[in-house]
Amino acid sequence: MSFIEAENLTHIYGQGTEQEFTALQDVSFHIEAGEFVAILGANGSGKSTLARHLNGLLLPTGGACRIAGLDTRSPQDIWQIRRQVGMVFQNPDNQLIAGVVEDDVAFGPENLGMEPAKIRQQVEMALQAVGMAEFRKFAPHLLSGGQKQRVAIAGALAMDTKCLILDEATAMLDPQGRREVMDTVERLHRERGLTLLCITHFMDEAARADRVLVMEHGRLVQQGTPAEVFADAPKLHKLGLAVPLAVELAWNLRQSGVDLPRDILSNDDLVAALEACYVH
Amino acid sequence: MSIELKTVKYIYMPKTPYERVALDDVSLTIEEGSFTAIAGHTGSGKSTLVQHLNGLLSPVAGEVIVDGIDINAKDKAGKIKAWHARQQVGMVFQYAETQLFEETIAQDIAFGPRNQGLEDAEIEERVRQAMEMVGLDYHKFKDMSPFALSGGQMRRVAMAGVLAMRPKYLVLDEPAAGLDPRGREELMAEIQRLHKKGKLTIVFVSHSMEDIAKMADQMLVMQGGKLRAAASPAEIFAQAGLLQETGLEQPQIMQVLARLKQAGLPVDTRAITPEAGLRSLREVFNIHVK
Repeated sequence: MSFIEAENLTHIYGQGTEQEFTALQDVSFHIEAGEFVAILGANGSGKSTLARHLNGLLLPTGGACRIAGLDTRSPQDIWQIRRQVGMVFQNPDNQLIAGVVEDDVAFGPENLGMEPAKIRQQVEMALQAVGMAEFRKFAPHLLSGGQKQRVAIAGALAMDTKCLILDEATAMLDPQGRREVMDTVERLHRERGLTLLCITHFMDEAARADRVLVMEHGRLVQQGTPAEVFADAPKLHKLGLAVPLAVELAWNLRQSGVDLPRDILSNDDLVAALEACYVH
Repeated sequence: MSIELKTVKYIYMPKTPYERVALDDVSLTIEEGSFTAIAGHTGSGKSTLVQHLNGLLSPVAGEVIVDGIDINAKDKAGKIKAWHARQQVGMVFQYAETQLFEETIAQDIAFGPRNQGLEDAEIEERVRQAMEMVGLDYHKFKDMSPFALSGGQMRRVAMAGVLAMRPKYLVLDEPAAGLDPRGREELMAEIQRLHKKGKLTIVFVSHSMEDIAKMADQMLVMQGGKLRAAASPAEIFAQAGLLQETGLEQPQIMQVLARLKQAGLPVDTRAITPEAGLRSLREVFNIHVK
């Protein structure tokens, strides 16, 4: 059993009405516990609709979606599912609700009916994990965008979430905020084996994943390692996507006769490869 | 002609416990014909600043001058002039597509000019032109619902609504945020065309150092409500300390080139766009390939 299993997942908005719209069609994939998966796709390709199925915010109109073996359509399991799959959305100002950081992080555990002493422990653990412990008494509106997103992540961790879904969680952040959030979730992935699903338009973020899924018009059209997916730049451009800068530069330099390996993904890879083939 | 800010100060919720100085003694000039980028940490005052450019917010101290006219003038004669001066500055908000509301695209774009009290024939002409300017075919789209479009197209309709009021200065708050790579590239190319062909002065807020490097000729850096720096992107990106302190970073291509330089490759670290970086790399390697 995989941690996330989508079988012929289909979602039709406004079924039977004039506005009927098929947002997901026959999407099937598995994600193992502890994996880091990026989901790419143009605006309107169904990425966010897909993400909202993974913790039961939306229910399939066809096919099935199982989290740790639990079907999202079964009402008695839905809280067990939401506890295990936390979501962080695009706008940092839309998801913090309390007047003080630690109250916000405690919101989830309180709703689960945890003991007060246990809640305090969980909140402390979660704030430490995202590097926000010193801000526990702050009002959220005094934080930067990246800090707000880290508080939102702490809210999920405090419920002992097994999986984090970032739905373009870095889209509204400045460069430093983006780096803060990505470094934090990657560390949690490495150190705690957190399963990570990252929906993004930033190709350099996707290049850091174990696996990349590509969506188009509600269908899953490609999946593979970043090296496999980014190898076909023309195909990605056709899908409205791009490749990371390092991939683009390496491709261009190879075209002009520089002998570079084909598996360059990150700036680190590119710098190392260029250094190696430069004759001083 | 220009937009000029003179020692502008703005305070949110003054005389309450939540009082916060959002702009502090900001003076700057945006020359007509320029392409200006505004960058800074979230909460540094970028959005507050741009809302002063057409009088959506009025400073508590200091002046905003558009083409020589104080747009916050209080006296009777000054007020009418100020209204006309403000009309010269069009403003496209963040996620502008969320503000569309009319039944058809043409009606939505016509909303601004109609409020300006123009004749029907003039309005139609302006709608047609504005749609052309943002690359939407008039006959194909005019009677469609704006809500049937993709996010990127909806954002263009919102931009057309502002262009239909024929501003001289176009201010855009993070115009490409949330768009996929193609949508971003197309929209930024559209804005570049408006600048070159439409002769519009552009001011845009952005978190993308790549977009700023590619398009802007002037870069303003905000920090804690103050204007920290105003110079060309190349000059700003050359100052590592300034970038670090203000939450910004060099465009990725500069980061790569800097590391190559450190490793002893004779690359040109002043290249701020991927195209310029590639040219430099080609020069280095055409001589030195193994």
